Parts: sequence; structure tokens; C-alpha cells
Amino acid sequence: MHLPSFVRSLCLTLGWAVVVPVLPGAAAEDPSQGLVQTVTSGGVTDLSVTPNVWLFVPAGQPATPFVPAGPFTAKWEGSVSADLRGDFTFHALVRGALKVTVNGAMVLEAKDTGAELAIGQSVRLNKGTNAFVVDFTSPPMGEAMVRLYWTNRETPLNPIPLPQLSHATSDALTRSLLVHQGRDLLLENRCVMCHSAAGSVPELKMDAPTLNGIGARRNADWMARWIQDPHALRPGTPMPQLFTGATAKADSEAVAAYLATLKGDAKYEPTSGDAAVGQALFEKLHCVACHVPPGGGEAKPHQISQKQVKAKFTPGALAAFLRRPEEHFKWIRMPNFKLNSEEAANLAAYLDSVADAAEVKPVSTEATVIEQGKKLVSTVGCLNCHTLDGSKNEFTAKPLSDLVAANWKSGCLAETPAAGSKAPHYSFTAEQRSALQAFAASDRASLGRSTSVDFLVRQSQHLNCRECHGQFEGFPAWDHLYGKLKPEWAARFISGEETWKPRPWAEFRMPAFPAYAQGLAEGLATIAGLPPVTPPDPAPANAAELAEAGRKLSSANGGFSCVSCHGVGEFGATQVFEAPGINLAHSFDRLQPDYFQRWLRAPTMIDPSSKMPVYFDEEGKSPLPDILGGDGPKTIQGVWEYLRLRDKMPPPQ
Amino acid sequence: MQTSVRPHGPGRRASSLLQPARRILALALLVGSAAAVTPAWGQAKETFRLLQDDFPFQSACIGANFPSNNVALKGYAIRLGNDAAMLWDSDTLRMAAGWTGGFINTKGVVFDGNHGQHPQMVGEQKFGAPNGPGVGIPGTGFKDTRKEPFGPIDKSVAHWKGLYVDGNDVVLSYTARGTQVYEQPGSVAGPGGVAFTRTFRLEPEKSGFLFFKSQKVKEPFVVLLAEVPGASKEFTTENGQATITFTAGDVVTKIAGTDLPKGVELVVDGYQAILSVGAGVKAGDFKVTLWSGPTASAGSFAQLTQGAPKMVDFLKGGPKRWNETVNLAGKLNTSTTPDGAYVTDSITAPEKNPWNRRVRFGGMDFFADGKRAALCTHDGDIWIVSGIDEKLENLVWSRYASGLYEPLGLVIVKDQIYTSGREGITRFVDFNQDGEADYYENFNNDVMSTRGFHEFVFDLQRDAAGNFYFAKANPVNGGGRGFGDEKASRGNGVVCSHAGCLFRVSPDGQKFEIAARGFRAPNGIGVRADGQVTTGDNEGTWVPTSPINWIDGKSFHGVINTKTPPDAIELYVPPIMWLSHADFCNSNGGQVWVTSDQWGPFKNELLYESYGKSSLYLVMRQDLSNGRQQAAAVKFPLKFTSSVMRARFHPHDGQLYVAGLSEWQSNAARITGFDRVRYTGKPVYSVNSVKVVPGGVQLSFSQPLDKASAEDVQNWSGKRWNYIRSENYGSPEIWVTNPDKKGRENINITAAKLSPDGKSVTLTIEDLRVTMQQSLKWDLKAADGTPISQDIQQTIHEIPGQPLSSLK
Repeated sequence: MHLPSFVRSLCLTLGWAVVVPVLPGAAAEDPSQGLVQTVTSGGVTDLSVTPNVWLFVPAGQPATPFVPAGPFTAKWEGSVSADLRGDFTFHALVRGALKVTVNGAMVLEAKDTGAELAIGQSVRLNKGTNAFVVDFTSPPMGEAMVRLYWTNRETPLNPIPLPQLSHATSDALTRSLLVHQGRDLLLENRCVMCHSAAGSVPELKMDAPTLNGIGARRNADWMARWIQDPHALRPGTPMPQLFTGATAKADSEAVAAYLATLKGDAKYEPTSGDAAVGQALFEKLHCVACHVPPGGGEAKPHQISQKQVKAKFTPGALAAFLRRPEEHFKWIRMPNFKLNSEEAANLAAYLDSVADAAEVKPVSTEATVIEQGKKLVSTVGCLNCHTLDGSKNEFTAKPLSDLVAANWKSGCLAETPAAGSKAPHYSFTAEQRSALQAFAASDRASLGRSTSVDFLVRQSQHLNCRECHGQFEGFPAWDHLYGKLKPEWAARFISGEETWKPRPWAEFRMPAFPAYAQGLAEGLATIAGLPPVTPPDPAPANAAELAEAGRKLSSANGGFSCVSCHGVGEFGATQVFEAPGINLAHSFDRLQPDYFQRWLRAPTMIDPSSKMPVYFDEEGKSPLPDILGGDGPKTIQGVWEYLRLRDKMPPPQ
Repeated sequence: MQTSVRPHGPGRRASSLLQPARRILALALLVGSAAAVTPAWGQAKETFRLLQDDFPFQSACIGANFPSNNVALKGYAIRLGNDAAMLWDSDTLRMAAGWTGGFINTKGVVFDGNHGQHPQMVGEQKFGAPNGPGVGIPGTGFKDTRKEPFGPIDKSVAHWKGLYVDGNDVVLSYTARGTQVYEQPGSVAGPGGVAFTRTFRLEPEKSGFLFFKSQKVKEPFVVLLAEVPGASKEFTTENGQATITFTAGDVVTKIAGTDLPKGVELVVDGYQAILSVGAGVKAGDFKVTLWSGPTASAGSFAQLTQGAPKMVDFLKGGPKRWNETVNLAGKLNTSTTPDGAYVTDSITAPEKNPWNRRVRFGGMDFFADGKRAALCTHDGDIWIVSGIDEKLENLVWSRYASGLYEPLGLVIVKDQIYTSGREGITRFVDFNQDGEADYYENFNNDVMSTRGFHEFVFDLQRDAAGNFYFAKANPVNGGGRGFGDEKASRGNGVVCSHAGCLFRVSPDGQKFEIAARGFRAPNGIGVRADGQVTTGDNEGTWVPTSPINWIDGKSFHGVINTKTPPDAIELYVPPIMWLSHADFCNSNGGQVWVTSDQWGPFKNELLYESYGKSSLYLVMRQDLSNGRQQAAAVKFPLKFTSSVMRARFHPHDGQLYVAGLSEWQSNAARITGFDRVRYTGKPVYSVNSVKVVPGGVQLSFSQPLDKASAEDVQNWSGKRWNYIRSENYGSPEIWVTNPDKKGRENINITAAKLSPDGKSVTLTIEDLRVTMQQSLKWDLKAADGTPISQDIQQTIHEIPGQPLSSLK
């Protein structure tokens, strides 16, 4: 970000609803990485930053939410850098028409390649930056797709690494990104729950914690304080402040008194756990990725404090929450770690032990107060976001389409709440308000459009995916996940449906994000130019022969000895040490074929810290001439065909 | 997988009645299983023969079933025929167990690859003796006086000398309080089952004068025979022989002495049966027979003890056992450097062999004639190859020795083979010159060994004064991280004070000392003639990435375990350079000094071998103001058959020979390889010196460079990064200017200036810094137009003109 640091830290201090315009896919610390992507469709142009020359637009869908569906052009601009002057060749798979220009010279022109890579002419790149422009024209109808790769003497076929792509910013880009940011804020703050708008963006239907049974789960005293000033208890929460002025405290307490009566059917039994064991679990699960370290130390802006758990949760409710965070709030960001009851109790005991002491004060049980609270809940807008069975919502607001841009400075967006205003107060920063205003001034049609890349980029930030992926040892870095996993498997894994653990040796565990899983899984594919549904991959006629070769290639006896580190189904890895590998019986279901081929060919090109050896020489030849003639691609295919047998893979010999 | 045949089926037992079993075993092998043991050429089974029915012992850390936790840390499982075996521990001179019905299983890193387990006896154990000394001073209860329960017991009490093999027989040799003892384990079968025999020969030192010379035991000693806890005991004389009978429930254990000389007695102390040898006992042979079985069969025991003690004539050398050879042709020019100056030739390894033995070379040296080399395998064999000549057309591989405990180092001194393994240094003697070792002599066994599978003993090298050097790994915990947590190590052993040390052994084998400390898995070492030692090490706990360590006195090299003396840590010496895991070396091999005049322009330089990347590097050193060095490395772009792990220069042709294996993470193509790196005489186009200068780096080349190409900064690039040395496994790469950033940061090369002679380029580097790792890469032309594209990695401890860093 090129914001002054104090502005940035202020923004970030305000917490999770703040959408800093980090660029799609770009490594957060270097905003100049990636290319500027300009998409034009139906006379509308949208600028964004993309991690690479990758694109996948399913038939009938828009290229980005900011342009209409239909034929489009896309242009990527920026610089490609080489660390030494050298000769490079660009390759592409494309549906549509593609032109790649480097330093003003066209080096690759390709159209509707099918599965055959188009290969450009060799081009000398200067050390440092080289002007890089890629033009793409979508087919008149049907899906559009681009995947660009490069090679040089020492680089086997791979996408251009993100650090080697950069772009300059421009007023047009800044303006466009401000609109994007405004849209993200609108979605995340659930503006459309009051100001209704039609559209297909998944977050338009995003819920908030249900009020059913809330009185059994939350201490009323805490609820009163929360309602009165949510931003004081958690800076940046999307929960607005609804009551201001002289009656704010009484109104808040009345609402809390009413909510306290909503006990529901659930019973929470106090749990007793071992705080020391809970602390170890807290550390193992890397809870600090999203939460303030309880032991002290500087908190990062995105980290949420857990100091209030004693004040907030009724006895037993914290452990229940830890077990099923999504039980009362489907779109909660807190994922499900599949804790068993003992783990949840231990973790709750630990959190209680480090929380602030809480004096739980009783709230009024007077019928008049409760009745007043009930009335407020129905009339001030609580039920626009929160559900409550049997209650009638009497609060209405103008639909979004009726809110003209000029007025996006008052009401909810007022800098300070106007005296007597009934508008909820959100504590938006000046930058956030200007982003929302920029969105208001746009055609707003983007709310009616959705792409999986748009969802991925926004939600991976909100869910703090990068706070684990790329930060902690043993986690695949976030950028490495682009185009790695088949979306079907990724959806199963992210949703928590997959019971098999790919890295059983890891003390951490991938938590489940059930509401987000499908969108994230599709986005991880489409952001890399791969379809959101894995296309058929029929076995070749000689699959059995290749698979047998793959089996030999995997063996310790004349092969690559894959089985030293990787198990194959029931057949355990023979010499797991330092670098255990993922069981190969799942690889076919997990991995995109494109990724697998590049990974086996040169794993450290994808992940320099990988312990997986590079087996192929500079020309891509296998060192095992006895198997499939030592032909590199055939050798890789042999292993793929072996993997295709999945749980029927015979153990390597 | 064990493919052993079991020649002693019930049908054979009658014919072997009361016969010494050995002859029968040999016969049975010939008759019953020849085909299985020596499959026809080309039909070798896919699975290796990890254990050999036709070889009398296998050494390893081996467990027995009782007494509890009975483990022979330097164990020899000895085949006795009759499907019986005994377990000898050469550290404690203890016969740890005897059993029937099997041999040992194949758990363990060099057998089935298992991490954390070691072989265990298979069958029905008949007797056992607890961990601790097996020879002692009378009246002291076999007291263990060692500071740690590892390594050899007090040599003045008993000292292991080695073992003889003769056909299917083994003779153990040791001294007991100054008396030479030979002991032949054996078995006999009879109606009551199988009994174990220990045939002893005492050879006390000669003393006295002239005609009054005599050979008598001077210092009495005791030998532990068995311990039978909770049993009642009884002394009897059966058939004229002193017999001890232990009874525990329905199980009877009987021990009898045959031809015991005067002064030798069987005694019982508590539940222990002991052979007591008094002062004055004369030289001679006798035997002890042990049997255990149901009470009902005990009556047949006396029959099993019959027959005079008979010992094989072990000093003459046994019959040749491996008659076949593996005849192969080598391959020339299997790869070449781009300038054609160096090529590789392959000395084809006997990967397929009539015995179906797995071949993974862990050590190599040449005989004086230069036509032959000996190579040991991690699997426990020594092979000899002849036919090393220019064309490599007639390579003949033969087997020399077997059953060794994970040898990973080999050196030849005056045509005598020495190996280093988990047991220490073993020297081999071929009495009858039939090309097979008859005596596996303990040259020095002072090195401690625990159960830890990862306590590899690595390499064996000598300096000009004749001192031997080898290194030992730390016993890492299960999964590879940390050391010595017995629980986390899943039985992988505990830290002994030799873990992670480098050792020096005097030329006569008598003096053993720790030469340096603080290693994790130093797979290879290099020794210059003057005794300067270098080592590699393997990324892991306390080792952020592969280092090249320069041993400086009793220096400490960074790996801290629970036995590291606190004052040693103060002696930390950072490596002369690091090599990055991702590009240059993920797992180390050895190092070798160029001693040859026939190997191009690199005489007296150090070469580094990367096991994991199967690569050979030239190490370019620079002296620092504090007497230490910093270095850079450039790869010889050659391809090797397997990993690059053990390299030596040939005594005559002056070329470099490289042996390697593939066992842990490596990109090696084959499980083993033996290659020659041959200098063709063509000009070398390469960097040959890298020196940090104020504000930049000066690189020298072996050929003059094209000025325009060399001075164009577009043709140069570089990156730098640091590592974090910590208890964590390995290290991320982090920026030098901002440790919070992961990865490598580009360096800005602002100018490149060629020297007047055209052979040196001085690069000006903006903000040149002390850094653990800097890489430089170039794409140049020599003055004659030959392309030179190379990359180096270096470590910068000091920039001349700036204060020396304390980079650690």
C-alpha cells in the first residue's frame, strides 16, 4: 500500500471489515507485483491486478463482476523481469486469441490451441524489467481461457513466477480499484440486508448470528455493552451501533434483557478442561493467525482479542462454540477445527484462564423492560441481519437503487452520527467512505454479477488464509495453491467433508470453512486459468502399460524411490524422515494434471523449500533410461497413470 | 525380505544326531537350496536378499527376547546350524542370547528401511544374559565401569579383537584380563533338541625364561554364561561332567562343561551361571554346552555334551565361498562439461549379482596396483573390482567380506582394507590369499553406539601421518527433529557423548579421540595430507542448510545435543560456506582435495560432493583477517550414475573416482554408482577463484574473457539471503536487509570491470553486505567466443576493509 503508515495502521486497527485494496493474488507485501488486467466488454472497461496471465471465464459468465457477460477483450500490462539477460520462449494454452508482446515485439500469437501448447519464438529478455503486454480476445461465445507459460535454458515449462511480474499504478487503476473496494465493503457490511438489491454475489445472502436461543449462549450484561457500542468491544466489527443519545444505554439494556429471555432448547453444561493442554492445542492449531496472542506481544491489526470470552459466553457455551462455530452463524469466519469435546473443553479452559475477569451483572427481568427490548428488536433493524423465529421485522429502508450517489455521505455513512439520526453507525474510515461513494457512483451492476475469482480474492483476505499459508512451517504457501488442486477435491477438503488428512504428521489441522468451500475451491482453479469443474481426463489406450511403468518408477528398486517418503494407500512409506510425503493414492483426486506435471518435473520451481528432489535433467530427460526410454513427459505420464488407479494402486515393487 | 531356506527339517534331524552341525549345514545348502541361494544370472529376484543363509553372521544392533531389554548394541547374530543362533555383543564381550527356530528379522534402516527399529531375534530363545559385561573380574559381579552404557567395556578386563570366519564357522577373539581367548559358538542336535556349544581356547601369554617358559593364566577371570531369573539351581555331575541345572516351572536349563582344565569351573552366583577361570590355568581347549527345554527332555542332555572340544583351524583361512564373479563392461563419456574438459565414465556396479545382494556403495579406495578398488556397501558387504583401466572393458567384481554393521567408509593402507561402521574401524585379513577376508579384526572399537538408527558412522579418511578420521551422526528423534528424547525417538536411542562428533584414531589404532564436535549428519569428510579436516553436514536441527565445516582444533560446529559440553559451544566456528538446500546441496556427501597433477588446473583445491543433488563442486576459498576463511562453490556440470558421496584420486591415472548410493532424499538415478571424472586435456572454461573485495566481488576465470561480454552488467546477476540457525529443522531463507521478509533479495551489480589480462572481473555491488548466502550468475563469452554460463553460491563473513562479522 502506498498509504502513509499511520493511515494504514489506523485502517487496519479498525479490523476485519476493512478491505484494504490488496491486489488479487499479489503477495500482500509487494503491491507492485502482478499485472494490470484491463477487461472490456459491452463498452464497459474494468481494471484490476492479476497474479499472472491466467483467465478462465465459463460460458455465459462475465470476465469480471464489473463488465457484462459476452464477448470481451482482456489486456495484461506491466513488466516481466529476468535476473540475467537471457533467451526465453513463451507458451500458451488459449481459447480465444492471444498476442504476447515483449519490449514492443510480438513473440507469441495463438488462437484456440486446444490441449496443444502454442510455442512462441525465442525472445531475449534484458536483465531487469521488460515491457510486457498480452492482448486477448475472447471467442464470440463459449468459455474463454488463457494460461501463459515460459521456458528458458534453466526453466522448464512453468507460469512466470509472480515476483517477476510487476506493474505501475495509474489513476485509472486506482479509480477502478476504489470501486472494487467499495463493493467489497458493501458486501462485507451487509448493506443490502437493509437496502435491498438483487444479485448473484454469494455474500448478498450472507447471514449474521441468529438470535434464536441467544440468551442461553451469551451473557446478557455483555450483550448490553456490545449493543451499546460494538466498536468499542471489537474495533472494525460490521455490527453497527444502533443507539445513540441519552437513551442509548437504556435501549441497549432493554434489548439485552429481551434477548436474555430467548433461551431456546439448547442446554449448555459448564465444561472443565485442562488449561495447559488447551494452551498446547492453541499453539498447535495456530490460533494466533487470527487472534491476539494471549501471552502479550504486539497484536497485528487483523487479530481479534479473546479477552472477553468470560464476559461474553455463558458457562459451557464457549466450548460448544469452539466445536461448531458455524452452528448459529453459517458465514462466520471462525472455521471448524473438528475439535472433540475434550479438546474444546481444554481450549475453553485455556481461553478462560487468560481472559479478563468478568463480573456478570444481572439485567432487568421486568416485563416492561423486556417488552420494550422486544419492540426495539423488531423496529430498529436487528432482524434485517439477524434471524429470530416468530418475530416480525418492522424496520424498512430504501432499496439500494433508490440511494443516489450524492447522498452516500449521510445516514449510515455520516462521519459522525447526526443528532437524532436513526441510521446505524458504522465507524467507517474516510478511505472506506470514499470507496463506498465510488461504488455508489458506478453503475452498481456488479452486484448482479459474480465470479469465483472475485469471491476468492475477497474471502481469502477476510478469512486470513495467508496468515497460515505462507507463514507457518508445513503449510503450502497461498500462491502455490493457485491451480494446484482439483476444485472438487478442494471443495470437499475446505468444507471439512474430507475425512482423510493429507498431512497426518502435521500437528496443525486444516479447519473447515463449510459456507465458503465451494467458492474458494472454484476460485483457486479459475484464478489460474483452469475450469471450475475438472474436465474429463480419459485414460489413454496404453494406460495399463504406463501405470505399470509408473509403479516401477515409484519403487525404491530401480525407480525414483517415491515410496521412501510417500505411502501408497495401505502401503506405508518405507523411510519417512524429515520430509514425509502425501499418500499417493489420493494424488489423482487432489492434483490438477497441469500442476502434477510441473511438480514432478521440477518441484523447487514451484516451492523452493520443497524437500522433493528434482529428478529430471535440464533437458527434461529422466535419469532412468530403462523405463519408458527415459523420455521425460512419458515418464511423468507413467506416474500419472499409476496415480489414476487411486485406492487400487498396487504397492510399488 | 528374508529368503532363507531352512535346511534342517525334521527329516534331516536324525542324520545329524550328535554331529557337529556345521558340516550338515554346508551339505544341506548344497543339496537343498543351491538354486534359491544362487539364482541363475539374469533371474535375480526383485527383492534383495537382506540376510544370507550361506554366511555365518550378521552384525547390527540386535535385540533378544529376554532378559528384559536385552540388546546387543554391537551385535553379531551367528548362525550355528540346526536352525540355531547365538547373539554376541562385541562391546560387552557377552553372549547375549541363544535361540532356535530362526535367525533375525529384517527391521532396520539398511534392511527393510525401517526407521526406529533394529533387527530382533526370530525363534524360541533358550538362554540369555543381561546387558552389561560378559567377562569380569571374579567377585565383582560383572560390574559395568563405563561412564555411559555404550562402547567397549574396560579394556583391561576384556578387549574385543575380532572374529574369524571359516566356511560356516565363526571364531571370536578377545582378551580376558590379559589372556587371549578364542571362542567358537556352535550347536548340536539330539533327541532332546538342540544344544548350544561355546568352545573355548585359552592362550595365556608366554612367561618365564628359556626352558621354563609356560603359558598360564595370570589374572583370573569369569565369563557370564546365562542368567535364569527365579530358577532353582542344582549342581550335579552327569557322565563325568560338571553340570548346572536351573529349573523354573516346567523349563529346565542345563549347562555343562566338557574337558574343563584344572582351575576352570562352572559356578553359580544368584541366578547366573558363570565360567570361572582361575590363575594358573594352562593353555588348552574346552567347551561349555547349554540347553533348555521341558523337564521331560532333560534326560537327553548328557548325550549332547559328548565329544571332545574341537575348534576349526581358523588361522589358515577358510574355503572360498563366493566363487562367482560379476563381469561387466564400463561406459565411457557418459556425460561431459560444456567445455569438454571433464567427462564422466561409468564403472558399472554389480547391481545385479548371483547372490541378489543389494549394492549401495558407502566407501571406496584403490589398491596399490591401481587396477583394483575395494568398495563397501551400506548393506554390509565389501566388493573388489578389477579391470580399472583406460577403457574399463573388463570389470570383474568379486566379493571379499560380508555381514558388516553399516559400513560407510573404506580406506586401504598397504593393500589392507579398513572400513568404518557402527562398530568402529575394522581391518581385514585374507590368510590364504583366496580373495576373501578370513579375519575381521577390530582395529578400534572405542566409538560408542546406541540403538539409534540415525547414528550413522560416516566415511573413513587418513592424513599423511597415518591418522584415521571418521564422523558420527546424532541420533535424531523420530521424524528427524531434535535429539535424544527417548520417548520422541520411538526407541531410536539416546544421545551418547560420541553423537555428532568427528574422531581421530592413531595410525596403530590404539588412540581414539574426539577431534571436533557439533555435527548432525556429517555424511562425508575430507582430509588433506597435513591433517586439515573438512566436513559436510545435513540440514536439520541446528543446521539451517548444508555447511562446509573447516575443522580448527577441537572446534564446535553448531549442533547442540544433551551431551554437548557447555564450554564446547563457545568454540563455535561457522562454516567456510553454506550451500542452499534448493539449488546447491540438500544433503551432503564427502569432500576431497585435488592431489593430482593430471586432473586439470585445480590442484590443491577442495572439491565438495553433494549427495542429495548428485553433484560435484569446486570450492574456492578466501583467507580472512582472523585466520579463517570464506568460500564460494561452482558446480562441475556432469551427470553421475548415482549420488556423489565418496571421491578419491586414483594413485596412478590421477583421475577422480566417485562412488555413491541412493538411500535417503536424493535425486540420484540409481541406487548405487561408481564413476570416474576424467580430465580430457581440453581447456577449462570456468571460474576458478572468488574473492570478496571492498565494494564487490572479484572472480577469476581459467580463460581470458571477451571484454564487452564481461563488462556488460546485463550478463551478471545476483541474490542474497540469510538463514536462521536454530533448533528448528533447517531454515527459511530470509532477506539480509529485512529479516522479516522471506526469500532472496536481488543485489544490484552496478559495474563489471575486466582485468588487463582478461581473466578477472571485479563486480561492483551496491550495498555489499556480510551474508550467509550470496549467489552470482553469469552468461559470458570467453575471448575465443566460448560461452561461459555458470552460477556460484558464496558466504561472506568479511568484506576486506570492514570489521569482521560475528556471523553465526
